[in-house]
Amino acid sequence: MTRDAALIDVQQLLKACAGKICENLRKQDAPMKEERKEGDMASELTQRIQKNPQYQDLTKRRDTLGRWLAVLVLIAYYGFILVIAFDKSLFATPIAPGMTTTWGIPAGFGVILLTVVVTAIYVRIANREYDRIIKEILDKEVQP
Amino acid sequence: MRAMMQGILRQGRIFKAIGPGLVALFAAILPGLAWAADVVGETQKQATNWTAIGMFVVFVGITLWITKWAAKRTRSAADFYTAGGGITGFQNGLAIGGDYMSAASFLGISAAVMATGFDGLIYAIGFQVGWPLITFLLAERLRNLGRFTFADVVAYRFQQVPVRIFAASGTLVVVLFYLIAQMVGAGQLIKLLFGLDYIYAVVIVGGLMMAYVLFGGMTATTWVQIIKACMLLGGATFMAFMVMLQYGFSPEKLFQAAVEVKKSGAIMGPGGFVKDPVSAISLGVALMFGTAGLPHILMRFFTVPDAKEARKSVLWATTWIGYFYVLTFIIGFGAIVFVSANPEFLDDKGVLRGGANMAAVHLANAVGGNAFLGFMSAVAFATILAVVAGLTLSGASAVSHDLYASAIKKGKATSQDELRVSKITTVFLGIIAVFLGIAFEKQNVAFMVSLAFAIAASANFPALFLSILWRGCTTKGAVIGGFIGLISALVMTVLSDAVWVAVLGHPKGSAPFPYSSPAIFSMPLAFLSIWIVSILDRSGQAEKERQDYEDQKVRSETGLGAFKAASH
Repeated sequence: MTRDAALIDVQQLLKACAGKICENLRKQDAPMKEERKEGDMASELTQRIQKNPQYQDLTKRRDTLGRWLAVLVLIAYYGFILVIAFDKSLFATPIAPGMTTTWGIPAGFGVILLTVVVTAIYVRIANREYDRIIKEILDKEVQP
Repeated sequence: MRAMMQGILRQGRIFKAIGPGLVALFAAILPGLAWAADVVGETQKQATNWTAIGMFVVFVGITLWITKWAAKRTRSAADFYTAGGGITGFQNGLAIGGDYMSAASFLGISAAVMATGFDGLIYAIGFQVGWPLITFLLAERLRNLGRFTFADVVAYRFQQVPVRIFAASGTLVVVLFYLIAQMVGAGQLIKLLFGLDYIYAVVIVGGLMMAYVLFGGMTATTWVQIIKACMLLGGATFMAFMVMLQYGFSPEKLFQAAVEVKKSGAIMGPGGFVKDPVSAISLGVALMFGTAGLPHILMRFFTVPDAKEARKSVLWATTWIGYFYVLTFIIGFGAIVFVSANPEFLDDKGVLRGGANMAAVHLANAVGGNAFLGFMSAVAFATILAVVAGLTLSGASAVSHDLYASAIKKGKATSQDELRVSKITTVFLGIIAVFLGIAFEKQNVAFMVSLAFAIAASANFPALFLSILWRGCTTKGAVIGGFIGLISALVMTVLSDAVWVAVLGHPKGSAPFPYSSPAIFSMPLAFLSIWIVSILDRSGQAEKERQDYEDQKVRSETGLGAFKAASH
């Protein structure tokens, strides 16, 4: 190796270092750019992940669960509103003869309780199961 | 620092120039006066309540001390917007509750229950049902895609400038209407509870809110919201407990006593709250989907480290908010029994002292004496502060992150510049809030909270929803459709009873838009517009955006490449 060639090597190394430092600085200051760059690099990875059967299964299951729970909430709430709009007397009926508590009370509290219960079901399944599957997928597909 | 001060001064000068013009404008377009359930209406000034003021001073002391601590940790834009991303799911759940449970809903809904019984519950449920949808559709996807504001998510694969301008408009309009309603409510409430003049009350709220956000950013705001949520939930629990204790924890006995006092069983069933089915469903749509489009709520999902914590936070929020509405209902019925028939709380004409919204406050006195009354008054004040701080932070982020850093500087602004702009905006918003609070003192602001929800449901939510879940959505579609939703919700509200008759003073029955909420029309209109404009968009840019959807989808589902919490 000649002296000049070695010098060029060192120059290139320095340039690369400077480039790296600049890039890091840019990363700190301009998050948008970093995002864009990651996006471009992810394309191939995206395709790999989308082909992963575990991923396909996960998104399908998660979408189905979310959709059914959302439909449940929509039916419960708009059903509640429609009863009030079209048949007020139904909710004004006592739950048992001689009682003051009407059907409207358990129905109303039922809707509130339902929102908490469905949220809890989804969050429990997602945090216990989905996150574990996602980690498995990423461990497999994202090579260091 | 000097640049910042100059900036503030410059802004101040502009403000002085346009200020009086704005007052005149608002005074001209918004005459009229009325009462409504969702904001605190006109009130009478009460004797100065030193217990309440003392407790409030303690609260302010603690929160300012936290702000001082938070200020040391707020060095970068990320600290300012997201508290460094290190908030836990449980803490964030409480803070979301603190953001969402306003004084207006505490006092307004308990008052509505006292007046109408079951109808108050219908209203409360509307505020509750949006949360599961946020969980299934948005929470983790938001966390995986965004960084500081919900616009980050909408703009993920779209052209930055138009989307940012749209999202910032959606944010600022919602924040401003919400903020005005809170400021006017704050002034009225504090006049009533503390016996302070309206103008001082508004200035104190504006000043403290500015201090929290300006110096402590998201860290201080979060802790103010957490403390407030604990105080509110604790106080309300005590009141509901004391009411139920009287009846051996039997709801049936409480209802019986309430019906006896009212001398009518009408409170146990639906009454006049739902007038026509269209209005009922429309209000339901606005409340349900509006919750999923409130910028200050969406922003909270960026303060947690990952999707798991984002889900936990929405579960805790749903639980606490649902529990809160149950308490509010019990408190309302307690007020029927202990307040509405008690001459101590009524004036000469047999009307509740201080106005209809005082139901919960008088009940606090009835079950816990003067010291507890002082405590609940301080809680109400703290509640307003926490809500307005969250709103201001969200508005400031829209200006500094979406407009300044992303649209104007194209992502090249330094963290320090961005931080400076957000602080200047905070000062500016604080001044605007105080000023509008004073300008609207005698106005009917009842429509503003429901308008904020309607706009959030018709502009922010459709754009966010379709950009995340529909591959075909394009920049043009999201921006044009979103603006159509925003403007149609605004116009229909102006043409409805709440503004046309109650505010503008047109004769009763002359409102061109016959329903009480526009959302059932404006939200589908926004969805339809986004869809049509997007499928008609055949440009190369649109094609690229559709291709980019795959990357976005994988990231939203897996969190791959999501922004990590900033470490200290």
